[in-house]
Amino acid sequence: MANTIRKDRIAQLVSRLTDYDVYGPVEEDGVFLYRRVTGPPPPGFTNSRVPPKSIFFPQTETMMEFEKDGTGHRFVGAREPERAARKILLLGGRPCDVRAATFLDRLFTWDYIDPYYVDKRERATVISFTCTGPMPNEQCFCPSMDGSPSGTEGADMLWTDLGDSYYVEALTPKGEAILSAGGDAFGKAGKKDAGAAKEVKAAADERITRRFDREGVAAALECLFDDPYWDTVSEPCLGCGICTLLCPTCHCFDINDVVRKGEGRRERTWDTCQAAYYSLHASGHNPRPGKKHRQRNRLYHKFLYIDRNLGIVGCVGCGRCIANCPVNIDIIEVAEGTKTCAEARREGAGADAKGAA
Amino acid sequence: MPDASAKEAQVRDIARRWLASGEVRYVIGYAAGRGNVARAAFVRRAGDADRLIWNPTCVNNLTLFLREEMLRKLAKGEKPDPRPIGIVVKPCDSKTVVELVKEHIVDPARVRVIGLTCEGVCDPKKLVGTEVGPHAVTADTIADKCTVCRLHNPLMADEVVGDEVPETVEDDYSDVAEIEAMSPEERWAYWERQLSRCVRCYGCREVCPLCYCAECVFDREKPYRWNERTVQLPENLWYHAVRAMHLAGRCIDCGECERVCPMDIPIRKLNRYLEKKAKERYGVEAGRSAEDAPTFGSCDVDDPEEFIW
Repeated sequence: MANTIRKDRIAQLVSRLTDYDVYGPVEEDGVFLYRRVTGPPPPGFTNSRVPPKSIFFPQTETMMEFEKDGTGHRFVGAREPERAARKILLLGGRPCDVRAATFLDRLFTWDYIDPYYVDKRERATVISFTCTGPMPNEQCFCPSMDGSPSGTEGADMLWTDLGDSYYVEALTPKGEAILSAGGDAFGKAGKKDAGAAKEVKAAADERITRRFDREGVAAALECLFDDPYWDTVSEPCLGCGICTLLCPTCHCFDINDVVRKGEGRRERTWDTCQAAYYSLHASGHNPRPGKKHRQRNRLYHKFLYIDRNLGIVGCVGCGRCIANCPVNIDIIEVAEGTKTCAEARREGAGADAKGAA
Repeated sequence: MPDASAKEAQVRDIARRWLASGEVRYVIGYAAGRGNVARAAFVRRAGDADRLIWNPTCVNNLTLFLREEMLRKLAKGEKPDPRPIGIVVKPCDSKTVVELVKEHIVDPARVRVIGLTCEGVCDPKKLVGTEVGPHAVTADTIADKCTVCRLHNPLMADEVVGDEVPETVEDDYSDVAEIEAMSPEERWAYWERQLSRCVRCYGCREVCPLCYCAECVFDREKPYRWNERTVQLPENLWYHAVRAMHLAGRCIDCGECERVCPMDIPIRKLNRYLEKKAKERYGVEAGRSAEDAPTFGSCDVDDPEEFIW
C-alpha cells in the first residue's frame, strides 16, 4: 500500500522528525552537496559532486582524542570522541549512491567491523529518489552495473516525483517509521498515482544511453598486469584524486595524529590510490611508483580484486569519475579496452607459437 | 574568425611533416575527447597526425606534459633522445612555454612549437547539457579567462597557424574588482565558503604547468609535516594560500586550476589578484619574454617591502 506526499508538506514532515538529523542535497555556488536540511530537495537536483557516502563516512573523522601528561613526553587519556545518538535521515539519495552504500556496508563489515561507519549507518534511514528532471543524464550507466534509476537496493523508502507530489513507497521497517512519524503529512496513493509513478520510472530507464559491457573485463585484467596498455591509458593522467575522492564506492582512508600543543586528535581522512604517497613505504620504496601503476590499480581494484574478495563490482555507474576527470579519462573506455587488448595479445601469442613451431 | 577546420588541417600538416622527417620525438596536441573537452594526444607516427584537432573545445593547456617530460628521470637503460618535442599551443599556453624557459625547466632547443592564433575557447562547464559537437565561441560559452586575455598571437612559435589577430582588450583587472571592494570580513566569509568545499584532490596543483616542485610542501612528511592531511578549513585555506603565493608573478592565467576543480572553487580569483599585485609592486608580468628575469629568482633594492616588518 503506497502513499504520496505533496511537495509543500515536506517541510512539515521534516519538522515532525524531531529524532532525526536530516541531510539532503543543496545547491551551493552551482554545486550540489549534501548538507543538513529542513525542507525538500531543490527541484532538478543532479548527482552531488561529493557522493552522500560522506554522511556515513566523513572525509575527515576523529577516531580518538588524547593529551600530553605532566612530563610533556607522553600522550595520555586516549578516549573516543562522544558519539552522536540521534537518528540520521538521508532525504534525497540517488539510487546509484544508495546502492553504493550497500557496497560500503559489505566492505566495512568484511574482515573487521568498522565501528565509526557501522554506527552511523545503523542510525540512518535512507530515502532514495527516482531519477527525474535532469537525471539520469548522459554520464549515467547504472543499468550496466545491475542498478536502476529507480533502484531500491539499500533504500528504506523510494520517492518518485509526480509533479506536485511524490509517490512514496516504504520498503523497510525504518521506512515505515518515517510514514508513522509523518502522520497526515502523507496521503494515500491511488491507482492513478501508481500508474504515473510506473511511467516516470520507465521514462528514467529509457533516458540512459551509455552502456558498459563489463563481461570479460575481469578475465582480461588477469592477463594484462604488466602490459604496455597501462602506459597508453595513463599517459594523460595528472595523478590528482578526483576520480577516487568523488567515487561513491571508493573507501580508502589514511590515519594521522594531529597534535597541537598539549593535545591531539587521531583523524582518519579519505585517501586516494592516485597519489604517489598512497603506496609509499617508510623505507622510501614505492611499489606503485608511476601513474600507470596507479591507474592500473584503480581498474584492478574495482573490477577484479573486490570481485574476488567480496563478489561485487566496485562501480555503480554514477559517471562522476568520467564527468569530472580533467583529462577525459573514461573508465568505460579503459575497462572495455582491456578486452580488445587482451584478445590482441592472445592472438599475438598464438601467432608467435605457430611461428616457433 | 578564421575557419577552425583550415587551422586544424594546417596543424596536422606541420605535425605530419615533423614526424615524417624525424626531427621531433613526438607531438603533443589535441584529439577529440568524450564530451566537451579535447583530449591530450601524444602523436608518434606521421600516419597518426590526422588524430589532431583544433576547435573551441581545445581549452586545456598541454605544456604540462612538456614540463613533465623535461623533468622525467630516464628509465633504466633508456638513452637520452636529444630530439625536441613538438607541442601545439594557444597564445596563453605559449606564455607558459616562455615561463618554463625563463625558469630553466624547458630548454628552447628541446621544444618545437606549433602556435595557433586564438580569439577564445569554450568553457566546458558552460557547455554541460548542450549537444556535443564543434561548439561556437559565444558570449555564453566563452571561457572566463578568454574575456580578459590580451594575447591572441602565440609567442616563441616555430610555426604559426592562423592569421595575425590584433590585440584588443586592455586588461583592467575588472574581474578582481569585486574581491577588492570587499571588506576583510566579507573577504574572509567569501573564501571560507569557497574553500570549505575543497576536497583536496590536488587537481589544481597537478594540472598546473608551473607547479613542478620535486616534492610539494603539502606532500612532505619529513622532517615534519607543514600541513595536516585532514580536510578542514584551516588546512584547505593554508594549501590554497601557499599555492597562490608560489604562483604570484609566475601564473600566466591559463585557468586550468579553476577548470579542473570538481568543487567549482574560483581559484583564478586568487591568482588574478596576485598577478595584479605583482605587476603593480614589482612590474613583473609572467610569460612576457623569456629574457625577463624569473620572478622568484630576482630582486631589486627598490622593491616595496611594506609587508616585511
